[in-house]
Formats: sequence, structure tokens, C-alpha cells
Amino acid sequence: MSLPFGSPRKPRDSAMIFKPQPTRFTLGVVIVFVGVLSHGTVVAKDSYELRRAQQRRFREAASKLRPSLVRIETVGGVQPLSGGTANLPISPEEGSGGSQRRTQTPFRDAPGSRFKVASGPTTGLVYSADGYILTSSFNFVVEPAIITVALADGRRFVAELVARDQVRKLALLKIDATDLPVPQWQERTEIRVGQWAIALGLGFGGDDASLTVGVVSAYNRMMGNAIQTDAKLNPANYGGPLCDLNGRVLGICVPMAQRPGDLAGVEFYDAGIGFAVPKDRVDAIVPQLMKGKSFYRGWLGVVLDPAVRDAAVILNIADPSPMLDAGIIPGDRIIKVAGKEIRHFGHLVKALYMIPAGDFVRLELERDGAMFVAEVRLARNTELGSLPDLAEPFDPTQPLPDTDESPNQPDKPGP
Amino acid sequence: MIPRSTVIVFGMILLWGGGVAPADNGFERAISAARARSVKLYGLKVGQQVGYGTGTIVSAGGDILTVYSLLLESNKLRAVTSDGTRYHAELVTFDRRTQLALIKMTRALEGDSSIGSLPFFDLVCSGDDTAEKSSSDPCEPELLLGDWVLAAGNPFKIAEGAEPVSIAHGVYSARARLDARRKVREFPYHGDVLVIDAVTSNPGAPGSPLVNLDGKLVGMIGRLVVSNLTHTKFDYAIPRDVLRSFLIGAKNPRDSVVANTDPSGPTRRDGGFARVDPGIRLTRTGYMKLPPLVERVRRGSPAAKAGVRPDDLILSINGHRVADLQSYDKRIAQVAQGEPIDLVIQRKKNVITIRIPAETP
Amino acid sequence: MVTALNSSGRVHAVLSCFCSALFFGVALSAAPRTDDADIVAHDEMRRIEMIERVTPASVCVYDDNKRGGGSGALIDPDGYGITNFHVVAKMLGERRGWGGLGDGEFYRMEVLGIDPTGDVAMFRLLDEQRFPSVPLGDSDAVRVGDPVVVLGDPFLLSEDNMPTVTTGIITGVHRYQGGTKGNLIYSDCLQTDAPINPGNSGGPLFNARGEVIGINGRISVGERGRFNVGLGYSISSNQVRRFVPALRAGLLARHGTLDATVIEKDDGTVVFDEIGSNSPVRAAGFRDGDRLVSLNGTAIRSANHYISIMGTFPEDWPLTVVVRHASRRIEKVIRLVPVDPKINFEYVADREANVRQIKRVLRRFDKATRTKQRSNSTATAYSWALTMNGDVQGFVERGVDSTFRVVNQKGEPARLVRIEDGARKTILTFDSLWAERPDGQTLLPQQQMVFTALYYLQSLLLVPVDERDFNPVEHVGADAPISPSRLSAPDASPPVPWEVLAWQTTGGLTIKVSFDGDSGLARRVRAFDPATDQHVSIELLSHRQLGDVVWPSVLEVATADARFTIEVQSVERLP
Repeated sequence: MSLPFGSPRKPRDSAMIFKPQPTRFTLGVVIVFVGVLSHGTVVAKDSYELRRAQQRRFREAASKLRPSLVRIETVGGVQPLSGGTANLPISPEEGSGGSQRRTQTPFRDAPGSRFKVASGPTTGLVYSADGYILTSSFNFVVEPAIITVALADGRRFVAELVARDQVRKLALLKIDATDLPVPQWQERTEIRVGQWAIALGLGFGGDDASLTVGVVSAYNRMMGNAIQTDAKLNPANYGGPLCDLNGRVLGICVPMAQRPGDLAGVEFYDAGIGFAVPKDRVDAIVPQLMKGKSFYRGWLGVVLDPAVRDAAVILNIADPSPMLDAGIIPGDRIIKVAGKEIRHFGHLVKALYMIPAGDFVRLELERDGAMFVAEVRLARNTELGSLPDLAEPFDPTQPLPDTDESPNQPDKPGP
Repeated sequence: MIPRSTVIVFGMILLWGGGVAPADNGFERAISAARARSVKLYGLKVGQQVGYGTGTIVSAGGDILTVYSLLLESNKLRAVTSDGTRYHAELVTFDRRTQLALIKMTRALEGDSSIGSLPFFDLVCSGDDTAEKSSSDPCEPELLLGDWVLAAGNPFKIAEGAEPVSIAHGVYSARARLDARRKVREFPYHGDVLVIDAVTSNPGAPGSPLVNLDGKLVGMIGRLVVSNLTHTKFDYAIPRDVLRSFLIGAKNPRDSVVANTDPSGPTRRDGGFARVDPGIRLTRTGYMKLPPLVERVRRGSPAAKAGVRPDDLILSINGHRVADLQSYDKRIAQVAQGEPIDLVIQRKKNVITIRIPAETP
Repeated sequence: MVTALNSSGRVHAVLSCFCSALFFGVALSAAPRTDDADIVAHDEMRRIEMIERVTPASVCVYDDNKRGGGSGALIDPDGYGITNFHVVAKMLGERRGWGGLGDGEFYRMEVLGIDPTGDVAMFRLLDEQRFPSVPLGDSDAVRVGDPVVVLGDPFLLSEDNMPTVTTGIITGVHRYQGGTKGNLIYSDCLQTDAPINPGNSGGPLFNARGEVIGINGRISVGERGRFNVGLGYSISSNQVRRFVPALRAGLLARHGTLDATVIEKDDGTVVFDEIGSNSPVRAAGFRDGDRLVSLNGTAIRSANHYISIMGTFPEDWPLTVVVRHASRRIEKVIRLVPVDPKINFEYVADREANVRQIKRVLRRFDKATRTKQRSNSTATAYSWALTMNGDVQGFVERGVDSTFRVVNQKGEPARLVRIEDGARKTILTFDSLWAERPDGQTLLPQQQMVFTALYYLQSLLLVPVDERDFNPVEHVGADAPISPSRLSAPDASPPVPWEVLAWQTTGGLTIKVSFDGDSGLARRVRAFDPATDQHVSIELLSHRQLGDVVWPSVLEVATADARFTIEVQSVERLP
């Protein structure tokens, strides 16, 4: 039916107009209907599909890295000494992480973490094809007699503990193997806060790596020695890798806190606070470890006067000690360490916690009103002598006057 | 008159609007499936154990799986469903090894006292699972390492009445054999568990259903323990297959028991399925390698009547050597109701045999 | 092929084809991708970018000695930020602290107002720059399972003031966490399993779009001590939003209450149980036993639900209450009375902060209402032509002697002769209305209050802000942008609260004017006479340019027993 263009027609005539092509139009409607329906269901399922895809990627990242994971088992060894009454097997329920009395226990790690180390298997990561294995020093605090390493292919080796980094909580093992699968690492500069971070471990005893998924929480923590994650880090994955969605290693999982100590940081387990040592630090440290040189916590060899509030006045100095060698005497006041203001013992601990023995640190001090500067080389506590007797005996286990910076004040409501 | 084409166009617009579902966060299916089948439990508070918990609905008629704890011993045990309806519930039976318990809702406390058809997890695969069927075998829903898992329960009894229970989410981390303790006592279950990285080890959470992304039950949050491998609190779930075995056993006690003189049938507490308890308490410090030394004997118990005394060292049970607590527990668990127990005991310098007769009702 | 169509047929055909193409195209584009890596990486990148966008607005909060305490978030480019009250509780002496931003700088910080009951506080970074800031989102739109991001400084681990980022999902909504000694109540809060630890307090909870949906301030803890166990609580942004005006103005913000408790009956309904003798519920005519149906459009499910919702409003907030009283459904707007925060210290409101907000409100108002600068604006005489009930009834004149009178079109005084109660409004027929009648009788108090209120409004319109004396003015907080004539309409998305300035008149009245945050205009004037307990409320429903000032043109006046509309037809300056 041919109709002239432009003739005014009443709307109801349009039904007649479409008569000639009902099938085509109906087809169009059907296509649209189907398109619409699929559109509707796709929109509703988008996030569900995303979640499914995510869990596949997590699993793939874990299997990609599994060949480079090793299970470490140890025989023998004793629980670590860590000051005071810390030898008791305190279970984690008994507030190993709560607010701690601050004390000065000269040249020994303060009883910050009364954690009894377990004897289950631990995790390590292949560092080089010729048999160097990276893991966490946490796994060796008991000083085991025998260390064995099991590779993903089932082969077992006896391992030698080559060296330890007490400061960054790393340890290097060596096994007599070749052609080990070396994992791919991600450069720290390419790591972004908010990206997925998966921690893998073998500490639960199975053959498959356990996975825990979180994100990168920060990329510059612990004086640059660590990136932070909220994946659940705990003894089952300390020493294992933290990796990205593609199975590239972001860092080695270790317990860490803003104070030194073999066990410092374990109190954060499963709390969404975890640390991993990234590639640039590992690369800087491992060559030294390979030579058998360990890093130890660095000490100055001083005790501060607890009676003086808001100022770090030296009460006593060990003999021998780096401070003695630098000509510091009791009564001198420490103003700054490594550029950080020091007003009490806690500040001092925090300023030194990541500086290993052997490194130099710059001190600004005051004596009788005059300022002076000293470059002091930190020593191991085994290199320090004893404290000379004081006129009034000093009890190192006495709690210090109320200091700041402990967020765990019990009277604070809420976090 | 509205032209047909306008109606069609308008219809398409309506269809489009209707077809676009509100934005989903991807977990909603799992969350609503889990919440609907999770119950809040309230019972006895004993010592340091809290008097509240969570349970998982496993039948339309109100069978609830949960973990054993003293709160279930209350005769005022209450179960509250997701719509806030409160029910009286009773402990049916529990298993000492897995520490699982079956309780049954008997009647609603208010209004119509009958138990309606509740949403449940179909563990025994009668085909009644009210969730959407997945392509895999519904009796063993798919669960691979790294899969998202979500738990729905009531830690710290945050939710009350009809308030929805709390969710915890994470991924399935590992399958491992449980080697753990509660305070100083060794935890009796040494089977497989699902290790998860959702933080679920909080008071009140054990008994929560654990589901996968599709809302299928993959496990149940277990009792609060500390892992012997890591000396840390441990987030885990009892796997579905263990739950299923327990449920089947709880509903169908062994024939040898039915043949026994127990007339009350499978609904009796401790009936048939729970282990026998002759009344012997051994010295336990958490170290499972200690020899089984009798600390005390319950007054009036079958063991007391048979002559077992404190300081007796048990050498064998029913002909099996028991060198330590672990093997003692294993052998005692194998004794069925109605069986006598033959013990070989060292008492001071002598070795004697004692038979504890079968317990008569 | 379309062979021949007339114009309307062609239009239909084109429309149909277009729609088909549109729908089809959308359907195709939204089809699931076969490559997993794309959607996972794409989603990860969106999150990374959102975090990068919001990180600059995250604040590490320190006290005056740069000792750590908690976290906060900037919500305004002028440096205003929100945090928890308990984070700044020890800084209330000098009200000074430091805020560290991710740019590495420490900024001097001023503590502004506090809300101890709800655990919220505001601060301001003192610097001339434009600060990065983040918006408040809609916490009521949040659903369990939604992904969230937490920024803060747990355990003070940040050494460069860059926040720690943790992620999780929303694991519960509308939760209630009771307070400590009557304060720090987390009423109607969000629950999340994103790790929150000591030090995170005061920091923001973000949704996927980078909007702040909560302030993190509380966690459940277990036997391990104060470490995250997967149960964190955040004050909902919709609650915080209502308190922002008072907190910016340096006030001790008080929560509001109906001063009435409820109980649940066996049939599940919720009824009033105990109503205080001074409760506004009683004044509204409700009694114990009356069924509480809904608050602000939300049906009340239980006593707990009531307690939870009631904890989220500031004092004086207008709540739309629906009650079944004597078998009738009654809907009323009831203003909440204050809850005294149980603090054990003396709090002196920060007058400087207050005046700063007054100036801000009035400058915005000025800008919205004036089109020309007036050099001499001390005109005090004006005339409004009033329309009531659609007819021009007369003019309200305010003379230089501050008296009001209504005159008819001939200029003769008009007298109030009749009040009729219509279906929804009262029709007033004026004959005359004097502030003081010649026979010595005074105006009805409410009528006087109406005109006093109008007088204050007029003076606002006539006197530019810079010539004002701020002494008698106070910024008193927030008001809800609802209008009594739209009682049943629920809010589509949480609107920005109005800000309220208050005056005390020499006659002892309190006049409160509510200013719209978006347009800057005055939207409501209220007058209250404590001596007689009388309230008058005037809604300024629409505005018009009359001369060189934007005047309110339709005003809806509500007194205790009357409601009428005034339309302003013209404004004239009298010589």
C-alpha cells in the first residue's frame, strides 16, 4: 500500500501502517527482548562473576609460585630467652600483645612478646637456582640442631643456616641443589597501595600452599624495610612470599614491630597488620648474608635516668661500649638520634630499632648547656661490657614513668 | 487510542527498566543463604565459656548442627531464627571426638508453636536443597583453595532477636589435619579441617555455617582452639563431609545399639552415638604422650563399682595396648554402648585385670 | 524495508529502531568478558585509583606535642575534618594539635566542636591552602557484602603520615554498640571486617566510590587484647552529616531525644511506654500505649530499633512521627529535646569558630539574596503586599517605629475579623492587625511572634553581612530540610542539613533562621517564647526577585493551632 509522505494522519492509523511488515517488526521486538533480558541478568551477575574470577586468580597465583616454596622442618632447639619471666610457655591467649609495662632491661630485648614458639613446619622461598633459600629468622629462634627443607617436587635436603638478619627478621639457608625454580619478583617502585596481596605458607602441614588474601596497606614502613599488608600473616606463612595477582613476589612475610626482638611483631598475627621485606631491601642484604655475615641488633650501651621526665638523660654507660668510646659520660643528655627527637627511653628504642650493629648513627647531645655531635658505631650486645655500679642501685625492671605512644592504653575507650 | 507501536516502544522501555537489577556486590547470594540458615543459640553460661552461640539448620523441621559446649546442657536452650522467632531446643546428641552436636527445635515459644518449614542446608542430599542447583554434585559443593568463603554467626552476641547475624569473609586457605588445644586440654578432633583467613575464632561464632560464593554449605566454624603447629588462635571450619557423617550417625544410631535394651531410641542424649563413660578421670595436662594414669573415679560409677582406683595405670583396653592418652582415648571411643570393658591395670607393683560390666539402664 | 510511511509512522519506526539499537548495544557491551584477567585487574585498578584519590585527605591526628592519637579525614577544602571525640578528648584545653598529611607536612590543627554522646568531633587544619577533601556518602544505601576501604594509622605505624589501608566488606548494618557512662554510643552504626586496630579511631570508612560512609572508632576485642578480630564499628555518615554544622561552629553538640521510651507488645507492635512530663511527644498529644508506627518514614520494628535510630539525631531536629492514637493515624513533626552529654569537664564553646560559621552563612545568604551592592541600606520601613487565600487582602507595613500594621488596598487599617479552619489551612480575614491595638489590647502572642519573626527575616535581607553586629547572633547547629507540607515524602538521598542562626530578642523571644546549604537562602524562620511555651514556624517555600533583593515570596506559617499562607506580592521602600 503506497501512502504519500507527509499526509497528516491520525495516530490510530499507525496500526494499519505497520501491517505490511509484521514479521520483521516482531523479529526486532524478539531480538530486543532477548537483548534486554540478557542485559538485565548480566548487570545483576557482574559482581558475582567478578568474585568468581578473583578466586580463580588467587588460586592461579598460588600454584604459579608453589614450585618455589619450600617447607622447612627443624629438630631440636630451645625456647628463646627474652628477658624477665619470659621463659614460661605463655599461650597467646594471655595477652602477649596487650599493653606492656615499659622497662629498661639493659642490653636484652624487653619482654615485649612472651610467645612460645611452636615446632610445626615453616615456610621458605627459593632465592637462587643454586640452593639459597630465603625465610624468616622467626623460624629459627629456637636455634635448632637440624634443619631440613622439602621442595615442591618432594625432594628433601638438609639445610645449613648461613646467616640471619635480626633487624629485618630474615634468614638465609643453603641446600645442595641446582636448578631450583626461582620466582619472579616485583620491583618495589611498581607496588601500589590497594593492590591484591596474597601470602603463601606451608606451616599448616599440607602439601599445598595455604593462601591468605589481603591488599598492600602501605609501601614504606619500618624505616623503609617493609611494605605492609592486611593479609593474615602468622607463623604458618612467616618466611613465605607475599605475591600479587600474577604470582610475582612482593616481599618475604616476617613479623615486625617498631622495636627490636626476635619475636617482636608476632603479636600482630591475624590482626590485619603484617609486613613483608621487599625486593630492594632483600637484594641489599642477601649478598652479605651469603657471605655468612649476620646482622644483629645495634646497641649504644646506655641506660637512661628514669627519674627525669621528658628528657633523655644518661644515667649509666656500659664498659666497654660505643658510647664510652665516643667519650659520652653519665649526665649527658641525648637530644636527637638519627635526626629524631629523643625525650625518653621509648623514643630511643624507636630510633634505633632498624639500625644494625656495625652501622653508624649520628647523635646530638647536650652537656652543661653546650651542644655537641657524635657519630657512634652501634655494637652487638655481646660486645658490651657490664654497667659500673652506681651510688644508688638502678633496678632495670622498674616501670618507667607514664610515657606516650602506646596506643594500647587500657583506659582508652575503643581503639 | 494509543498506537500499538508506541505501546511496544513503551513496553521495551519498561522491560529495560525491569531487566536491570540493582547493583549486586557479588556476595549477596551467599550472605542471604547463610543468614537464613543460621540460628542464634542461648543457653547456660558456665565458668569462662559464654552462654550464647550459633547453629546451622540442617532440616526443614528444625534439626540444628552446632559445636558441643556447655551452653547446650541448659534445659532453657533457645534457638532464634533469622526472622526473630524463638524456639525451645534440646540437645539430642553430641560426638566427643569431633565435638559436634545435634540439637532439635521442639516448639516455638510464642504464637503458633509448630515449626514451619525452615530453610536448611541439605547435608544428606535428599534433593531438597532450597538454593539454586549448581552444576556440580550438590552433595559436595565445589570448594577449591582460594575460593571466597563466608560465615554467618553471632560472635559476641552482637545480633539480637530478628537482627541479622554478623558476616565474616575470607578465602579458603588450606586443608589441614587439626592439631590443637583448648587452654591446656588437647582438642580431641584430629581430622581434616578447612583453614580459612576469615577471622571467625570469636566467642559465639562456633557453629556458624560456612558457605561458598553460591551459598552452598562447605563447613561449619569449629570450637575455639589454639593450633599446636603455630601456637596461635586458629580460624577453621569442620568440613561438610564430616558434618554429614555426624548427622547421618546421629539420626541413625548403630543397629547394635538399637538391639540393646535402650528403649528411648536415638533422641536420648548420649544415646548410642556418644561414647561410653565408665567414670574414669585420667590425669591430663595437655601433653598427649603421658601414660593413662587414673586421677579419680566417679563415685557410684561402673568403674568405681568394678574396683578401679586412683593411681591405677591402665595398660590395655579390651586387649589393645594403650601406651598414652591418645591411644586410650582412641580405644575408649571404640567401645560401644552395652559392651563390657576389660582393663589390664598396673597397681603399684602388680598387674591386675578388671572387667567393667556393660551399663544397664 | 520500510516502503512508505506517513510522518507519524516514520517517527515510530525510527524510534523503535533506535531503541532496539540502543538496547542491543547496551546488552552486548555489558556481556560478560571471557578473559578473567581483565575484570579482576580492572576492578583492582579502580580500587587502587580510588585509594590514591582519597589518600591525600586522610589525616594522622596528633596532640600538641606531636604525640599520636588517631586518624581523621578532611571533608572540606578549607581544611575542616572529622574524627572521633575520643581522639581529641585530651586536647580540649588549648584545643590545639597537629595533623599530618601524606604530603609529608605537619599542619597546625584547631579542635572545633565535639559530640561526646556520639563520639564525633571536628577539627580544622590551619593553613591558607586549598586542602584535598572527600565527600560524605549515603550510609543508608550501604548493603551487607559491599566492599569497603579503611584508612588510618593503626598502632601509629606510619612514619611519613601516609595512612595504612585495609579492606573488607560490610558485615552488618544498623548495629548498636552501647556507650561508656552514657557517651560514645554507636547507635545505628556500620559493622565491617576490614581490619581496624587501635590508632584507626577517627579515620574514614570508604565505599567503592570513595565516599566516606562511616567513621571508624570501635572494635570488639577478645582474649588477645586490643587487636582486630574481624569486628569493627563505624559511625554512619548519615548521622555524622547531621552534626557537622554544630561541630564546625565549635559547639558542644547535644543529641536529641523524644524523652519517651517504647516497649514491644506480643503482636510485634511498638508502643510508647513512659513519656516524660516535658516530652515533646506529650506536647504533641500522644500518650503511653499509643502505637509508634514510623520515624522519618522508617517503620519501627522493635524497641531496640527505636533506641538505635533515636541515637542519631541532634537536639532540635524535626522528626516526622507517625502514631496511631485513638484509632487514628496521626502524623506530626516533633522537634527533639536535648540529651545532656555526661562529661566531667567544663566545656566552653569556641566563640571564634562560631562567628566564623555565622559569617560564612550570612555571606552566602547575602550573595544569594542581593543582586546589587547597597551602599546605604539602613532602610527600616517597607511594605509587603499580602495575599491570603488568593486574594490581596492588604499590606503589612513596618514603620520606623517598629510597629506592624496591616492595611487594605485603600490604605485603611485592616482588622482581624474572622479565623476559619479550612481542610489544611486556616483562612484569616483581616480587618486590622496592630502590634499594639489602639484600645490597649495587645496582639495575640502568636501573631506577634509571626511578625517578629518576619521582622528578623526582613532585617537579614536588608542589612548586608559586613555591616552586622555579630554579638547577638549564634550559630546553633543544624536543621532538617523537610517541610511540614511534605511530611510523607522520604528523603531520596540524605540532603545537606540546613544551618541555623539564632537571635534573642529584647522581648525574650528566641528567633531561629535556617539557611539552605546549597542555595544559601533562608528557608525557615522559627520563633519561640519560653514564657508562654509558644512556637511559631514559618516555611519560606519559594523566593522571588523583587527589586534588587531576592525575597521569600510564599511563606507557610504554622502556629499551635493555625496554619496559613502568606504570599508576598511586592515590596516597596517607604520614604
